[in-house]
Amino acid sequence: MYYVHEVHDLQGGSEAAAEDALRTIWAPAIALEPDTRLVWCARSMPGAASYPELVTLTAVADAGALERFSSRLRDGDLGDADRQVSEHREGVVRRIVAPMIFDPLEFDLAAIPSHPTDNGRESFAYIHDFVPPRHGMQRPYEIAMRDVFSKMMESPDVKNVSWAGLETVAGGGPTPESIMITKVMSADAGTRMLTAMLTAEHVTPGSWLYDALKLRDTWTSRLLRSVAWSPLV
Amino acid sequence: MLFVHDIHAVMGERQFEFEESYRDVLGPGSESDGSRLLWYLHAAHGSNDAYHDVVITAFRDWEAWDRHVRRLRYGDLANWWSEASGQCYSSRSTLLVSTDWSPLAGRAFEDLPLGPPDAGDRLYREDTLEGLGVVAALHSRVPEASDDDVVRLVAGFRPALRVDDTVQVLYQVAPGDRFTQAYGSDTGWSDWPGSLTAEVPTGIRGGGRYLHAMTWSPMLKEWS
Repeated sequence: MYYVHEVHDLQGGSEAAAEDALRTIWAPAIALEPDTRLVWCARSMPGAASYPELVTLTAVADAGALERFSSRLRDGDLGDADRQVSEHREGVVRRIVAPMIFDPLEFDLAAIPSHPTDNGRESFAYIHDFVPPRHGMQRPYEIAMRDVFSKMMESPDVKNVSWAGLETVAGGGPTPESIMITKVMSADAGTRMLTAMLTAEHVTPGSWLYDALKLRDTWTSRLLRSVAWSPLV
Repeated sequence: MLFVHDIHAVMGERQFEFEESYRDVLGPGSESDGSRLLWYLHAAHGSNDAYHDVVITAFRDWEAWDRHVRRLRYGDLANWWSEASGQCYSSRSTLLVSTDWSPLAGRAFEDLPLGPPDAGDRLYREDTLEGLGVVAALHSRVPEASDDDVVRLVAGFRPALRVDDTVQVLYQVAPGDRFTQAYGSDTGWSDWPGSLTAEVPTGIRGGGRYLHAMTWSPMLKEWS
């Protein structure tokens, strides 16, 4: 499985039209191929790193499906759909990403709707991290995310859930780069993360915050909330 | 009055050393060259760039800013800054002035606190908005303080060397349940009560970050 990950840059005044174009034009156009579906869409929350913006994840079953996606986008009908969406956005940053070994995202591609509609489900906030590793540390980081971070998230004290663990691949954007999506299971958990004041006493050997610094340093978090029609939440 | 807005991309393993160094050299009580550090803010994990610290410093006038520049380059602060900046990957420094609608507009330099404060609510949100005419567009959007506010304006700045195309807005975030309830609600494309951008003005884009003010930040105050 591959994913086409897209960050759609919008401007004030164009948000609703862009969201509608993605739902009614882009998602159905993608779904004309049976092995390609837009599976997740989220919008920037107040105070997000960049706003207004939409982030989408399109599942592509394999390299053959990605080849058809590419061909349709460059010279075919998907290009027309892309141009229609582009009338409502400033730009789009497109990555090709693949699951890492601990990626928890599982779904039946055939069950994803080709024409997404408001599904009436609860929306969720997400913390969407873009994490460049230290040089040469992508594989150790991936293993640490599986063996340490994912287990830490299973603690009953942690109310957030690791929702997807992806990375950019050759030809797919900044590499190496981990593309993490954490689902915030309660508002209290979300604000607790933002309001928690870390001190030196919290960052000591043996803690994730300390040990992970050997694998990566800074990263960028986008604060997002799923739209009402997102097929997966 | 002028302001310098610094964003330091601090090495993660040096974040506490860097802050302590700043506090000890330029923190509360340091005003020998007509400058006053107002806020020292850590990036909150889960928001924008991790390990990026924001420092906002006020200067009485251009002469005070010039003296500060000289101190940092070749004066008594040069050695300190050489060492401290070695704890960062990069820094970006911007000279700002107050917007007309900022709560700091018209405030006398001498009235700014030297700190440290007694206590205060510490979560802030800083938004940077870009687009031609953005300063003027926000002028008519400054809301009256309300009991429903989730964020409240504490300062507005614009770059000293740019036309009306960029503005930085600093909010204090309501403590406790009010923020949690807002965070948990789906407001669509709308911002929370108290924001200047309940809806983002046409043609404007923004970027935000949630920040923790250090307890020693002189401008720290209780939400009221």
